[in-house]
Amino acid sequence: MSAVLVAEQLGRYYGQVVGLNDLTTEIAGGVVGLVGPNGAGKSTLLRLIAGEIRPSRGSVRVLGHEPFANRELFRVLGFCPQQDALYEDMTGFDIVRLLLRLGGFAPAEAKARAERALERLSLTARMHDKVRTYSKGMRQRVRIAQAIAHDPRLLVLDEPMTGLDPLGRREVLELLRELGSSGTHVLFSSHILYEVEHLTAEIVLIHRGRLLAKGALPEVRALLSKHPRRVELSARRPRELARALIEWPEVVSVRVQPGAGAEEHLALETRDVGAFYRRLTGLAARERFGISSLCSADASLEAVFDYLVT
Amino acid sequence: MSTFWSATLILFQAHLKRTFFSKRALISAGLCCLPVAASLLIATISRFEGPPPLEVVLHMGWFLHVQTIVPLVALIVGSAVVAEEIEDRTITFLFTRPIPRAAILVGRYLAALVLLVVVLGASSALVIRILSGLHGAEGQEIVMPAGFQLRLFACVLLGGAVYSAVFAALGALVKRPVLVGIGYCFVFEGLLANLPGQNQKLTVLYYLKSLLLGGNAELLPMFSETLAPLELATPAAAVRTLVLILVAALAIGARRLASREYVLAA
Repeated sequence: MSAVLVAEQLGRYYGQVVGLNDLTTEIAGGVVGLVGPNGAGKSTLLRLIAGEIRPSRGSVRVLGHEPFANRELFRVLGFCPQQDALYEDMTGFDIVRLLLRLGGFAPAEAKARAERALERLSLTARMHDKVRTYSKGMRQRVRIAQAIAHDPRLLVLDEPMTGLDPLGRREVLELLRELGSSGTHVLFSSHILYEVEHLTAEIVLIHRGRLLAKGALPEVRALLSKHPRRVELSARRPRELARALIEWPEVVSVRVQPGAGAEEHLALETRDVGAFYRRLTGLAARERFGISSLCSADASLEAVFDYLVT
Repeated sequence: MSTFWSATLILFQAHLKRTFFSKRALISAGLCCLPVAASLLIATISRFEGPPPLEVVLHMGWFLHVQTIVPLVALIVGSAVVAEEIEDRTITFLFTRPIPRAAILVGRYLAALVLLVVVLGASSALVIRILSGLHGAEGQEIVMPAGFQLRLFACVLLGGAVYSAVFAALGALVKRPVLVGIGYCFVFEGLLANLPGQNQKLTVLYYLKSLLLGGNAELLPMFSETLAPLELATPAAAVRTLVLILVAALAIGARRLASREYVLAA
């Protein structure tokens, strides 16, 4: 299968400001989350993919096409931009239908698709109202609707959860998951890492315009072996347990933290989580520290992200 | 129908209603009322003091309507054709559709043109109607040269079409089309069109003046009192050149739109 996205030494500068720098990567497809802090270059990359801007250097190919002003690509690409822009004096339905008509759909087909897309975004009841009367979340739904209405092969969404309430976020996450399952490639950016993590394990991390890491979340985490990993433990005798653990070579630090009520638990950092778990199993069998819970506090994307960018 | 024309038609239809119900349309209609109000004032005065000399009618039609109101209204409506999509950051939606970018300019320009034809046409028709019917208390009438009213009407409409095409193109070419447009109208055109010599031929006003006066050589001296002498083109040549300017402006704007990238703020 050919890659959905191939970027080679891709760079984009805005005068003296670097938007994206020397990014070489390949994305095979599926649902992929693009993460990075504000100003990392996420939107620049998505704009390059959507053909809105040209690379300053290097190249990018999307579904085999150079994207800038490429009409062939736009038949199979859906783009939801980040900017909160819509035709204020039009209805949500009219906007989606207009854009479908421009996509080459006949009037009846465009109408049916617009209704269907807006229904998927739970906007049926308000789709004939002017956009200027919509809430921020409803406006975002219209932007997503116009991106999915023509059943694109590749859906590119820049911060698609912006402005959505918790229910809306859940609905959009579900929709994106459905689209991904049905074979649509979805590339989306978000700074809400919890949501990225719940939608996909495939991530691309960029920071200061550079690619930091790419792949499945555990693989990305594995790249960070040099960083200590945090583990949290609850035990009946936490202070005694702490004294034992701090002697281990793979343990970097141990802190006793107050928990609920009089309970205390341990937060420790380890260089080698595998070795730590093996040794801990043996310790738990030999000694009676009353270990009641154990969790890796930083297996989440949030923690990976923090490690990478700080 | 080719993709270009079908996209142009879809955009024209979609933006026609939007254009008519926009603030720009309201401002344009307000500006177009000024020559009508001035004509009514002249008509009222002429009832008591007799019809004014033809020069007054000519200068009002030319200076107030053709040289001031037409470019201003064309600037307000024409500069929005592409620039509004960029300022409102909605152009992304159009740029990511499988259509030639030129269709965005042409489709929206045609919608703007309909608005211009309606507001400028109505204003011009009213002005001509009022001025043609001028008479004094004792029934004295003002005698207009043959075909003058029709030429004035054509000047207003064609001027509006050409100027708006130029400003639509400016919207695709520069960041601040209104500012550049004002400079173009009132500095470049206003200066060159009133300087003696061949430079006049670089202005839209020269061809509009040729269209208005070309068939009525007897009116020329009235102009020459206030304007530098000029050598006029024939009305047919003037129309041809004006159409050429219109098409060239749209072509340049469309070409720029097709190749330019617009970095929109998030």
